[in-house]
Amino acid sequence: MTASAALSASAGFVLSIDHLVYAWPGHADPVLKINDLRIPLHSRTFLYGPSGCGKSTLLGLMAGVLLPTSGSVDLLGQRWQTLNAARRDRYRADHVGYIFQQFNLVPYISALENVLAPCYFSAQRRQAAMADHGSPAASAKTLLLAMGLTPDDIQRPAGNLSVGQQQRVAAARALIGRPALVIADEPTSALDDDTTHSFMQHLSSAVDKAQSSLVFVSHDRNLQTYFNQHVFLPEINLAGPLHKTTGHAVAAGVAT
Amino acid sequence: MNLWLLNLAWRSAWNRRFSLTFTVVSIALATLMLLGLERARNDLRSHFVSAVSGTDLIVGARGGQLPLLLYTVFHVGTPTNTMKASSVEAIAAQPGVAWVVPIVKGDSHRGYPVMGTSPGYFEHVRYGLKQPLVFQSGGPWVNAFDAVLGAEVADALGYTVSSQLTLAHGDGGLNAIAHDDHPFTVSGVLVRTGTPVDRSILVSTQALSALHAGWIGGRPLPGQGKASVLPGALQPVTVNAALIGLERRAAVFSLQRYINSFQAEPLMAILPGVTLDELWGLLTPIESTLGVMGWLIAAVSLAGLMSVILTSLNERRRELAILRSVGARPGQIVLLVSCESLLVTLVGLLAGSIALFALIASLGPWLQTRAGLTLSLSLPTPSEGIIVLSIIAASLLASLIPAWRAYRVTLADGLSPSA
Repeated sequence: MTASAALSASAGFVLSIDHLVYAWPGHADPVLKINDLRIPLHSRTFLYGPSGCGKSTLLGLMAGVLLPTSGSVDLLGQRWQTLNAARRDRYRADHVGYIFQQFNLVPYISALENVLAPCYFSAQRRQAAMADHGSPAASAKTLLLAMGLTPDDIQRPAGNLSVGQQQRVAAARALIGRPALVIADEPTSALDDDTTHSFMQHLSSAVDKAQSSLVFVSHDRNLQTYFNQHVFLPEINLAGPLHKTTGHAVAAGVAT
Repeated sequence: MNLWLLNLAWRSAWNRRFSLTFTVVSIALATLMLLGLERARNDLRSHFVSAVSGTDLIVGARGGQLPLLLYTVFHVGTPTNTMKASSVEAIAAQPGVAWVVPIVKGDSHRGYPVMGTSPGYFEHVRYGLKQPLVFQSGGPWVNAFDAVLGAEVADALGYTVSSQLTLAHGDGGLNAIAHDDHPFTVSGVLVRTGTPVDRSILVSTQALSALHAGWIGGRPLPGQGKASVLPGALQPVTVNAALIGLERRAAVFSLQRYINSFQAEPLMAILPGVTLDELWGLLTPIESTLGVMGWLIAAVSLAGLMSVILTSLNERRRELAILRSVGARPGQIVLLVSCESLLVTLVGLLAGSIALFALIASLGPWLQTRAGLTLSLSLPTPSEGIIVLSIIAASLLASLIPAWRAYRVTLADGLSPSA
């Protein structure tokens, strides 16, 4: 961790967004304009809003996949746009875990191997996993069992698992080696209610145990009880329709 | 990590083995077609050049060089002039001349040319890489009216040793006069050579003289009885041409000068290799047409190859996005994709080459019998190497396009899977 990262961590935030403006290349009108958004360390943040309000774009900016048109996004005090593409890839592999909507797993390798994958690409996460349970494989196994999978399940090809099981494997993979930030982009949208709640319970406790910070995007407001911070994106996005139609009347801020 | 990536690449390929098999098959077919065409093109030329070998000079009455080569070696066209047999003897007596074989043309049998020559023909004339003529059954003439058949004549007409055949005067056209007074007996059949010898009927010059004894102006004299002349006694007075072999090749130009300035009659000596090249030059348009066709086929099959690879890589888009999301760097993705394409291409090339060799080995004899085309089982030539390299280059190029796309968009793909 760099000196500034340590500073940011000591300030209590994993992610800081400052006067962010983002417009798609070739477009003059920004889709996102966020003055101030901070994700505290060891927190669970619920990011919601109607589809098309820029949630996925914001996630891309948080993960350094997209770079701001102006303003800044810092992960652990490291400003994304000061890194070149290769270093962003490396930094992301070390500090960010993902859970997608679906198709998270390589279907022809086992659940266990899927969870181990980040350890092959990030030395930092491999070492953290080893520090946790002696070996990356032991760490992966512990995470999978904690997510409610059976020892049989974790040896099966990931493609043979149910959708609910696959999402829990994806969560375990995002958490191995305890990255600072876990980004989940509507991971429950393909699940039914029962599976959703089981998934949310497992995910919440695993995130807490790993001391990671979770940013969870969904349009399902029923899930907000699992989170301690709530962000309604149209409210903080000054480039969004809410502010355009109401003439910037609503103050920007974070609903906590 | 790289070992893990290799292992993953292998399992990914195994997981897609069905579609990869199609890619391999289509690469193998493209290889087979391109290499096969190239080989046929090369062998066409060597087939052509192999028609005469070991003969240092061909001598005939002064005239065109090409016609002399055409009727002595390829049995195409008819000679218009003759040379005296005494001139042939004078040339044979020159120092350094190892052998002289006379050639008399004129008659035919059911469309196949008949050539009169001496027994020395079987001994001295070579084809291909100085291979001698070999009998598959029987042997050279024993009796005056014996004939030796080329392999194709024997196959096509169903003749074997001791079959009887009757020659027709001239080219055997509609008004041809049959030499039915002197039937010939087959004494031997030659093995296939892939040269015009396969299509010819060889008889002795004396037999041909005997056939035409008492003829004037291409017709028998009325009142002449059958077989009135004993052939053994008849040495020909004139021949159409003679093949000459030297003891040392170095003497070829001095002998050529001697013949070209021959005192008794105007003669001409040609170097068969030089004239063959000249003749091949006439066929250049055919060769270049084959070449253009080859390149067109190459372009079409390489384009097909690229589309097959592109399709199979599109299948992997999601898998690559997953790898990117767990931390694989773009370079590793490109490596993964290119390595697989390279491997698949190499397997396809190998399969195609093996299939070509197997085809040549199994269909070669049949092709030679049916089409007279000899395909050789030889090591790849430089031009075949170029074909192989362009197949590899095309597939690498094809794999780089999606690899480059993966490089740019996979992470964004993964972050918004609905897109």
